Amino acid sequence: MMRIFDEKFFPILVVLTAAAVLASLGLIFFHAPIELTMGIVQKIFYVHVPSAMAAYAGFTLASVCSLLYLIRPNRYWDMAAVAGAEVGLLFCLYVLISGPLWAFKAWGKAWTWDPQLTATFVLFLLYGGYVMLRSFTRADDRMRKLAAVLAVFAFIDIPIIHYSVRMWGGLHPVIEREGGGGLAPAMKLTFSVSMFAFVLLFAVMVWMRFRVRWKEYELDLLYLEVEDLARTREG
Amino acid sequence: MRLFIKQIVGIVALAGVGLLSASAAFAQEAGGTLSLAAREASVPGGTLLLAAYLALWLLVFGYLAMIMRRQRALSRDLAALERRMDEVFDGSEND
Repeated sequence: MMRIFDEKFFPILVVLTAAAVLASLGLIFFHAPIELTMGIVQKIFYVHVPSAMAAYAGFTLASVCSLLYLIRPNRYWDMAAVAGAEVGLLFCLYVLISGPLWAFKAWGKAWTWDPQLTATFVLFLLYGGYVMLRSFTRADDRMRKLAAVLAVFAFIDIPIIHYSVRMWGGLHPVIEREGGGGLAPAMKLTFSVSMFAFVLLFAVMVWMRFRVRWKEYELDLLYLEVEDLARTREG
Repeated sequence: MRLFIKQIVGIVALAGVGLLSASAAFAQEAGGTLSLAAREASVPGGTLLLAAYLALWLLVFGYLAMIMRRQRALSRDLAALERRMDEVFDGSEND
């Protein structure tokens, strides 16, 4: 199943992703109008929000796969969890870079300890901790399970981020949910295409990361088999 | 081993950026006396936009480059395994 996806569908996915990314960039810079109050810096929104969604998707994948690994320890769940956490962390880091760049113009300061911003920073630290735990420690079963527990608990922060504006207010803007003003049609189209491009980009990056871990694992197993065979023949 | 060191460097860099942004934020909270107009004059929106898009593609392509390097290392390991298999199987045939 995984091999069929890798050989047949993945190349198509890569081509689709490249086309979607180019289309979204074209729409962002040539189709979407310049917003009246914020000016050109508002165009950061078309990559900031999809990045946040990609980060949520990555962390959700990491948490769900970690939970599945805890229920039934299968190395493939663990590999998918690490791939999801790494890609999610990358997009979360980008959210923490692009947000302050926008805020510097819109709010007059790059950062404020607004509930949503603070919760996003905490999310970055939580999954950053997970990725560090997986990178710096021995990859034994006990450590994998410990990291899986951390990934499952860290997920609690995602609904906190989502509902923090409703619960505690704050400066972070809302567009359509919870009473925001909505988007102009040209902006809505650009945002939708950008969102689609980021979903594809996220899928490509997760699969590439997963594939490396999967092949490394299979190679290790093969090495062990060959060495066992060599010892048997020598004996 | 080299791959592991590269991984560590990557993760430390990630953490470093996170800590830097946090410390910058603290500094700003403590001494943010510049007015909005002054800031607007000092950094144009186009520059901020360019920085945001540059950062995105640097992160994405940097990560993809890291994966490609691991993929190449994997191909080298596979070639080494093939050589080892040749040794094991040729040896057994000669016996």
